[in-house]
Amino acid sequence: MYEGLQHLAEGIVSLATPMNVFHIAWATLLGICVGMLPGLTATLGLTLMATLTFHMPPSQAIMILISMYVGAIFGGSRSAILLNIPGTPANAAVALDGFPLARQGKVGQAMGLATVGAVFGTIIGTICLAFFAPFLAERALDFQSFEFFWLAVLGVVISGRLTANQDPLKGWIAGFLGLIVAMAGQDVLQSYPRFAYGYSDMRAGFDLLPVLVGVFGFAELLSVMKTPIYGTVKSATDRVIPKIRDVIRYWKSIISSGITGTMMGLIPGVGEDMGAWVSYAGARAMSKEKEKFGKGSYEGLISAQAGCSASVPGAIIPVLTLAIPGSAPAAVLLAALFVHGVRPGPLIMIERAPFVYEIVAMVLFASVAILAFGLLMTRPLLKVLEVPRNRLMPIIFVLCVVGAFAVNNRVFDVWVMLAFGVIGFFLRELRFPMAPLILGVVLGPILDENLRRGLQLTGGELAPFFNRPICMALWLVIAITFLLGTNWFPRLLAKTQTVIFGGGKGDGPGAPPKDY
Amino acid sequence: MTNDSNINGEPVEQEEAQSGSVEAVSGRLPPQADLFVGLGLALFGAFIAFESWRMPGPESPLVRYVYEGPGFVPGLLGLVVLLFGLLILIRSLREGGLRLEDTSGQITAMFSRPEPRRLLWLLALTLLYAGALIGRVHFLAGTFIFVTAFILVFDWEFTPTPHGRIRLAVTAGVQAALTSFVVWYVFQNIFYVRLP
Repeated sequence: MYEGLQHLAEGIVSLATPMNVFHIAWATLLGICVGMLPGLTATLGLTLMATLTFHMPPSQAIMILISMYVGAIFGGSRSAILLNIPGTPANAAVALDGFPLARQGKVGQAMGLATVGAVFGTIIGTICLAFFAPFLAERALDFQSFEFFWLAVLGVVISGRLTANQDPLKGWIAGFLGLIVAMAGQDVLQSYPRFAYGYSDMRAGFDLLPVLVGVFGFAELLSVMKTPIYGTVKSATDRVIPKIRDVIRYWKSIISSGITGTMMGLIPGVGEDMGAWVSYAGARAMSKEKEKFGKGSYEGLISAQAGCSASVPGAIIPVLTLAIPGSAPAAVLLAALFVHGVRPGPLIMIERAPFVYEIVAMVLFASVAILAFGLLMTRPLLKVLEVPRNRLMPIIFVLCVVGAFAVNNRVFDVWVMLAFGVIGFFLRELRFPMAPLILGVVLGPILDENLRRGLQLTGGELAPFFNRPICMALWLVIAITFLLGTNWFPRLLAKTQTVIFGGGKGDGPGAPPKDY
Repeated sequence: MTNDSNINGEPVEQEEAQSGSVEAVSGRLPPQADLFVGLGLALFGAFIAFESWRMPGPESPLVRYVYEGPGFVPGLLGLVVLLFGLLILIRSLREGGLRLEDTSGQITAMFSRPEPRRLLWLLALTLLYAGALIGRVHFLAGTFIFVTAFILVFDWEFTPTPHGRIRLAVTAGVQAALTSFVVWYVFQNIFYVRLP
């Protein structure tokens, strides 16, 4: 505990140099701008930035990426409030109350409260990061191949379930397609070039960054540009800095949303969108002013933004301790850590404990930056929304091409980016979510290596995969997630409940409408 | 889809609010579309499983047991995708996926809307630039052509007057020149990436 605080203090001191503060400031500001612009998501911004910072020193590159991540997730609230179009998907819940507030002429107040919500959410998430990461890393030291195998399956299954609520089957398919993509290239045990068909470029498989640039950059560009234009922007004319009594009044919601958001961030591949929605729903359930939610409630706005921003440090926790991303932008961060020679995983607290606390400090500094930019630069920042989309998108595509090329200096990666962009676009159009796909690409090697190593260790015996305590918990969660995604299981549960406890008819109130 | 308005009083469609969304996975596709999705996935899963089965197995000196073979995990994954594809296919058939009435009318209507036209332009421009120009012509020239063409194609219809179109061409050229030079300079001289 004492050692942790000492590392944290050292991390803060080491970051507090003018050059670092400068990097954090511009990266957070750029993140806010990227997040604000509908069509440029946090994942896209981070992916492009990961390729741009490729040649920088590791700590500087990671600092820039984290600042941009925090900034982008916050920045999306601006367009959610002004245009009812969330700049990043994570801010969709913010629009529910932010936009009605803007229509009531309270643009400035809405933006101020969203800023405060984001800052407190990030700080609560950061505190959880500082305390949970070492704890989780210590527990993860007990993990063997069997547990890591189930963890990889769990990530894909949970992410598939939660990001494709109306059709979980498509979420799972996206995840398994991602796992298949990860199988291309030399395998870890025999170095056999799988699915290479004699092409030398395919022997190493698909690099994660070009795939990410394609799925989140090029596909995003296609999705956004296929529709003509989006709405126009109005400026904030009222007070931006929120009243302290408004913030104090909702302190319980801020804290509970911060904790909920962090927990949602922790779940592999689920991330910020769910953090915001679950926090919003939680705050509404606990609120004394339920009727105001959706009509311009300060509490709803502040809770959604706090939950969404708290998910950022939450999503970083499994990245650092298990090498499993909590969200799509966190997957980019994980890829960047690998690229820069940082080996995240259970050993990180033994090998690089100070680095973990440096990351905590980076998130804290970025939250200070969003406070400053969010409150003091609201009006000038809104000018970003006036940049014509037709002028911005060709630049973004050029950066996608150059970013994909810069990873290995080969044109093959540009083709990979193009192919995955087109595939990603059509999958989106067919209602397949992208987060499980990317999570699958990240988790594929973990699943492959640990399943085969586990079977080698046991001589082909499957029992340890099922009867070790953590394995048992993991496969039970996976099985229940699968069952809850079917049509018949929730009905069966409801019927059983009716038989045992009596009362209601039919499916009961808890049965979600599933379709197969 | 519901309609609302932004603070200017202009209509903003709720569905549009999801347009930039990575996880804009709302609603279900018609069963006809899912029929092809399920079929495609089942075929893809079967292909992966078959190709994995062709990889070295216990008959190879490198592999003692099936689970050690390089095709073991991709084979399993292929079978899972095959199974999921069949589930989608069956679900689509149960929901009337074989009823393909009025398909020709739907296709004609689809291509008269702006979305598919814009999409075809987008695909043509981006694939031509990244797939054909990059690596074959100098980066500066390729990027200049792409950015100019992109701006002209997508702004042309919003610029009806001849004077406006001349201005558009000039500004597109200036932006294209600036973009290609700045990107080239930054990558070449600051990040030391030798661009194609």
